[in-house]
Amino acid sequence: MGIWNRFSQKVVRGWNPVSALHETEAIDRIFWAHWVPTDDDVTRESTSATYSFYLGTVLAVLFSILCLTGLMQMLHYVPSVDRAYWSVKDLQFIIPFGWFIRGLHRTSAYLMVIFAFLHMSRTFYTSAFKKGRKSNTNGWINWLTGILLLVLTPAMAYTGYILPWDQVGYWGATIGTNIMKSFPVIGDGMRQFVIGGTELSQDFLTRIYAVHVVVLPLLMTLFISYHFWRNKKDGGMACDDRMQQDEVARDRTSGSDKSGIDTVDTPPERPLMFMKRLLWVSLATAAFAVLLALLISFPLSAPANPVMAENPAKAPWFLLWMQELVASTTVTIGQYRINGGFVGGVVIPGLLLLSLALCPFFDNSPPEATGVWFHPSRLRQNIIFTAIALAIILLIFFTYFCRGPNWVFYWPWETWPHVH
Amino acid sequence: MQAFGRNQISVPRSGRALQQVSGFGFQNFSKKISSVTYVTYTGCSVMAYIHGKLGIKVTTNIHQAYRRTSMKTIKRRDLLKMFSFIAVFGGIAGGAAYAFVKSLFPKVLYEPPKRFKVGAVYDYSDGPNFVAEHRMFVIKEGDKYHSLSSICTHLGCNVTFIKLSEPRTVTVRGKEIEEKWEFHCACHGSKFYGDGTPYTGPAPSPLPAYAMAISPDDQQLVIDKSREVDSNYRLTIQV
Repeated sequence: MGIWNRFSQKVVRGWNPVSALHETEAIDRIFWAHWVPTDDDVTRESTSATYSFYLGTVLAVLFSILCLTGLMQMLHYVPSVDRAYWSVKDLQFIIPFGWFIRGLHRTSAYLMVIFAFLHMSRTFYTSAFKKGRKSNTNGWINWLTGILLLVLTPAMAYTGYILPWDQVGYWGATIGTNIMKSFPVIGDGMRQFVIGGTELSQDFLTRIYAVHVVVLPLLMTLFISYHFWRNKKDGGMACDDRMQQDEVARDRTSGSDKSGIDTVDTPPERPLMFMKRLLWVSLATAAFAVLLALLISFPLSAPANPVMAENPAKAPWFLLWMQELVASTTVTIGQYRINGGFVGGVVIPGLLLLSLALCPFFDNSPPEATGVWFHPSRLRQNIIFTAIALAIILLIFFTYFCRGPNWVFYWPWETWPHVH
Repeated sequence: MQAFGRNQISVPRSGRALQQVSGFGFQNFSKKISSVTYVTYTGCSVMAYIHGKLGIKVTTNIHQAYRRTSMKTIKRRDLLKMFSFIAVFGGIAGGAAYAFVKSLFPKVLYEPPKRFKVGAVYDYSDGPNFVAEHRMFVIKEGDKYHSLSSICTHLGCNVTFIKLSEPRTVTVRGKEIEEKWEFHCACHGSKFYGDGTPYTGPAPSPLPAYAMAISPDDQQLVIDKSREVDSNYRLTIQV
């Protein structure tokens, strides 16, 4: 027996399955696999690639990449107003493969925002958020946890955007904190609390740094873990109520099969197969992120200049829809003029999130719709959801391509006049 | 019949007669009881009664019995324990939380003063002069001076001043003024007339104007950002 096999048996696996049937115990036996759901925990549909597309796995992998590359960047980054920009510049141009670490961090962050959105859409279209009939399935808890993660993800991206203290980051921070300030009554206090004064300065950068590298990742880890655990306890992703019937079916087919369709001769489902699949998804995700990081370069903008914003000063792409909203939603009601920062930056996104959060409680579709893609009974809500999602995506594209200097509308093929 | 505790419990007339039960070890039964159980203290032993169809409740501990008969009461010792627990540990935790939050509000701001000198009068030419350090425009019209903030009232970007190729007349709040320049914001497209009044874009209010003065020691212009003035304010300086 080779060294690797001995090591593997002692440390990695800890036990040697004698038969295929025995292998179903892998989850209980192997420490490294103990968190993977077994066939008894979740329905078989949960491991189906065409049902979930493994979007949650992709997100978890991206988060791990972000933690790792983030740690590597922490060793070079200096959270100081004077040195932040230059340390990131060194990272990009001087430190060996610094450009790669930074690029991978950024591609993973972008991918994470995209996949969080896709993951949420998948859950919505399959109505996996529904409470389910079984007493222990609480799809709505995981849905709310997911919404929390959906907020945390852009929050991470946004705080990370500020750290280089370049033009984009600085003005992004200015606008973000002023959106907070546009809150009626408590706005000024909130802004002062966040930036530790009345002007963006060292205190603010230190706080954002701490939030980006400690507070948010900890919260993320906590809620991702809970998200996993809850999912397993709920019987898998479809939040499906067929488990009771499945058990009967499985008994009938000598413990090998859950659907009851296959014959007795079907080999037993192996949880390790699921592990292997997870591994493949993880490797593919990592490879994709690495490839993007190699192909796309992420230049720094100029150092922060507090007296002159770039023109046009555009937010990172995942916030562009909000930038367009804050730029066009200043409303006049009687003698009061309400700042677009509040309407487009707080009220509209807040209402969108609230309506998302309330989905499981106002969904009247039958239980059969649970875990089914585009169930006909949910046609209307699917249309509304798609319309809002498309509107956000279109706004992002519109703002990216059609807003020129001084926020004037230009067609994408028009050249912008020279300003400044 | 003397009921235990402060609550005087009388035996109901309806239902089956109460039957005395003695002994212990039937605690498990109590889970099935959903309603009131009457407990009485008779001399030296603790007893419970069967009441109607409600079931049986047997208890061996007088305090437990008391707690079960009137759920809303609590022993004084337990209450004091709870209070002291909350007082000690709650006080510690609350104090720490207060300290943590309070530490985020600085007592001293190392920020530039609100009142500052912006240079000598003769440094300024006619029209808006951008004082980058303080994000202010000092606007000179002949011997009249006033100042406007360059911080957009929408979300705090910096407005830039645009010199118009020829003066034009605009109506601001029912009053016609002639303007030679405007202020435009790069971030979200707000535009302001020469006097700081927004006319298009998301900016909700005019660019604030601040009081100005001449410093007595070296005759420099002084801007007082703590004192906002209306847009008609002008400081006349005869040189």
